[in-house]
Amino acid sequence: MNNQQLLNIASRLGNSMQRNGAETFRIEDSIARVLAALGATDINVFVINSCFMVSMKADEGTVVSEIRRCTEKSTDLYKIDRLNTLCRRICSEKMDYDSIIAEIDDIESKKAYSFIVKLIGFTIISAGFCFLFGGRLLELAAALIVSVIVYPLIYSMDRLSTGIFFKNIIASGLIALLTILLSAFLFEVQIDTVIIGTFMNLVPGVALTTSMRDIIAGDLISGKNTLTEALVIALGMALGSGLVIASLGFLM
Amino acid sequence: MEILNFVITLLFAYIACLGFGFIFHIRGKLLFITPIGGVIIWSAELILQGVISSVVVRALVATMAAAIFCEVIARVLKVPVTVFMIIAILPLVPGGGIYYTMQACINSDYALFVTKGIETIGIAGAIAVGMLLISTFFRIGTTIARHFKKNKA
Repeated sequence: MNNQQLLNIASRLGNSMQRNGAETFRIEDSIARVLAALGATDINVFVINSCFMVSMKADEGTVVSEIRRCTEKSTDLYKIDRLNTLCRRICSEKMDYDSIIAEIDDIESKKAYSFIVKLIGFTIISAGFCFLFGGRLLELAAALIVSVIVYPLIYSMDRLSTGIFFKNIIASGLIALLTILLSAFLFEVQIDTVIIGTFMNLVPGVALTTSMRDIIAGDLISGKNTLTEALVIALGMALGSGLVIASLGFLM
Repeated sequence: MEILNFVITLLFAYIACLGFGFIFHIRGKLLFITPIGGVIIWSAELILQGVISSVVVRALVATMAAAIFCEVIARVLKVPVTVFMIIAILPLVPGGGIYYTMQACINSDYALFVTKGIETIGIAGAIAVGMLLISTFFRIGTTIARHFKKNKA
């Protein structure tokens, strides 16, 4: 395998893991192991939230390096799992360049769940948590209605990459607005329960988990950045719903 | 009746966490295994309600229980721990805390605002510390195990 091929494998694997939401230390660790298994020496991998850098000495003793930015991020646990398995395989058995690239292509080409499936996921999250927080039949129905209206908006905002702060302000504001209107004009429900149940879709659980796992592993920069993301999400949620509730409080 | 209620609640916890599986694109058998972490964290939270009065300490213990499950099952199935951990801790992330803090602020109830705010931060911190403790123990364990294996070989 020549330098360019090694570099190509490293950067494609790393970028793919990063885009699908793997933790920093996992990327650094896996890429270093993979490159070592493929015969590179002097491997340095450095990853922060939006950037992936790798430098190594390959067969002829020349140093090669590559930087890849990663601006779009989502959480795709299936792809993380597959990429992780691929890294293990490269380390344990001899795979040639073409089969590795084919495998990466195969993983990346896997389509995400469709809009409808995600919509179902979103509604059962809302309804489920609504029940867990003390809601009953009426609250569950309200949570279902609110989610079915809100999710298409969140989905399109994800597509337009509006940024997490704006997205959470709008989404949580709309959740509060719809719940209050529903309760005022259709049937009366415990507004708190419905809003909190639907809120569980927006809470920064992923950011919290990822940042903590980064901090545990000693990647303080990435951990801190992701923790800020969690804070921004929480602030956006509080702001959005706060604005609506403050202005529509008379309906409650 | 109590038992039935408990079971129904756990069923809803399972369904809700299954929803996160759809949102985060989990496929295959993992889709049905990951929600178990959420069920564990929620049942720990419910069972401990009578034992531990502090919400924050309860969150810490519940997270530790779920984290042990995640670390073990991830090693058994050879899947990254994050896959299980993200789903497992989500039920405990203080969505309600954020909401009540905001509500207290709007009602100009600043005593409640501070209480709820601190509580929310406390729960988030407890979740973080719970994961941190368990993961670190498991890390140390694997490092020691690897060391012994190397010495044997």
